[in-house]
Amino acid sequence: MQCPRCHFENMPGQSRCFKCGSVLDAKEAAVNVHPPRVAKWKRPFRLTIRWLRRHTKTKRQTQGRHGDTPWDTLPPGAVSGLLLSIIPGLAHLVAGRFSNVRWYCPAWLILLAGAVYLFGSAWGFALLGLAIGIHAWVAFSYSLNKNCTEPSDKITWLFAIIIVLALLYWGVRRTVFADFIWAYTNLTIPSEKIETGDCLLARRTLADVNSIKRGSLVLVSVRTERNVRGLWQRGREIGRMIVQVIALPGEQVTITQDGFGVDGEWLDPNEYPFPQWLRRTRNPVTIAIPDGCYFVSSEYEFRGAAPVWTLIRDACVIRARDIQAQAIMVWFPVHRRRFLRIGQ
Amino acid sequence: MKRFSKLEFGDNARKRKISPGEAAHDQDYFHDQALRYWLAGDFEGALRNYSRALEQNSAFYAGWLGQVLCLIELGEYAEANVWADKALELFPEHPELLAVKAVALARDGKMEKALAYSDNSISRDNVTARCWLARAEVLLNRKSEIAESCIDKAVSQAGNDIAIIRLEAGRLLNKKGNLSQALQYLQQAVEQSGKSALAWYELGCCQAKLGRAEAAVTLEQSLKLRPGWRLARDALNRSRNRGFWRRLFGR
Repeated sequence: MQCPRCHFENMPGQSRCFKCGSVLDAKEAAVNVHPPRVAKWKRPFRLTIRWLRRHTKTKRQTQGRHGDTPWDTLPPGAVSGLLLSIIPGLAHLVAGRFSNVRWYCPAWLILLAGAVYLFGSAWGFALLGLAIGIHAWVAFSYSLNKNCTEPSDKITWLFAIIIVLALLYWGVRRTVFADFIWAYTNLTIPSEKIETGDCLLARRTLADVNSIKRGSLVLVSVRTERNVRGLWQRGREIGRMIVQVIALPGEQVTITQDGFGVDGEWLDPNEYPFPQWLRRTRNPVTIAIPDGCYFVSSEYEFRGAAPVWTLIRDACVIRARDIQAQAIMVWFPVHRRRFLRIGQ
Repeated sequence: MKRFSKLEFGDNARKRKISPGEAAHDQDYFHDQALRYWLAGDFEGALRNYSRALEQNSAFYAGWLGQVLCLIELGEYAEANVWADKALELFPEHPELLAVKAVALARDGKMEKALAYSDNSISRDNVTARCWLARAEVLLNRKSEIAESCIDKAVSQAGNDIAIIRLEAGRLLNKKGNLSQALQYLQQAVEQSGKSALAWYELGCCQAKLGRAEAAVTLEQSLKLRPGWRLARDALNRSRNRGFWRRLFGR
């Protein structure tokens, strides 16, 4: 019987090659040929451990040290533990005590994901508070829970950690999500399934000339206005409002009781809803939009009896610099959450 | 007798049931099928076919090697390590098995062991192209400059498997960020095995990383060869700047 690997001629009946030891006829051996597989839920943990292992080795190689781990060079005690616990469970993982917090870390992740998903609502803030609490407990339990003997010290430390973490989370929200603004709309746009009271997510960096198109929903700052010697001047900001862009700079808008017309073309009221207060217009009003300005529409509430054309001029023609952000998606209600198509 | 009908005795328990009318295939058929799946980037399918090839003949060396390679591609490095050990029991000190074990260890982050196994594999007599590729991977992890010469050696020793070795070399260099060289190897691989969705996908990814406009066309070709491939579709979306996160955070 010839060996398939080294081609040595073996005696008949041999199960392994006399020369190289390879299996000659595995039919009798009944070898299991199905490899072991890893469970899917274990894969993320494997990835994390592998990442840590690689970085540990790299550090050791660069330091030229063998025998002890690089973590031994960290300053012992609570400070290093607290610093590492900026990522929950990292200090425990480094110290080989991750099993102590193995349930807290997934719980923290789930709560944090839930808080991000529901951000802006009371439930979102509640979940964020719980996530901070669990994060603080994980950091606290690394060394302080054992080292502090007095209950008052424990409580003081725990609250101190909670406050620091709350500030840290607030800082992360201010830096990472600084571009985003949440705002409620008072518009109803049937084509986009947007209803009055929906919360929209808007981005600041999209509020420029290139991004804003007809139909875009933008967040503008509403300012008080006062008449000084016959000139309209801008006052202080009194709030923010979501409005819909109807006409761009250089275009001409015609307003009748039925709807908007831009450069002689009538807009579909399903996409460009006509607000109630403009239905008071008896005669058609035509406005040429100057450069650097936009014509926007929204459901305003006016008090008093000012002429409609004055209200249109003051409330609908806004300057580009008053636009703070452009809406990109419906955030709440959650079941209608999606990206906006109109004006994108 | 009914209660004894489902009992399994000896090796019969391990044999896969063949349904009536199913054609009987030999190990080479399943090996070819596995290679086809592998070139299409379907490593699960390839692993299944390697297992079926081994069911036909458990002394089929290419089956064991293919299984270990598939496990590595699927990211199951610990399992690949175990399986390489099992294959080494059947084929002791085989340089290619030692080399793929080194790759599994290296990807699992066990660099020192990986280097030892790689040293062992290239110290054998019949060193193959795959041994040199494994050597290159281990050395690239250590940022060694001689890794490139190992890849050159692998390509020069490839023989009939030149297309696969070029593809593997391109994938390795692409993964390690050596994009200009990876592009060359992947282009050659695509020229030689134009029906491989994996080759087109890797080429498309490499082009996308280099910011080349033709990446989308290349990835579309990959999707044509293997419709509905999630990895290629995601890469295509990314290259078109239409992924979820790009839409949320990108301009």
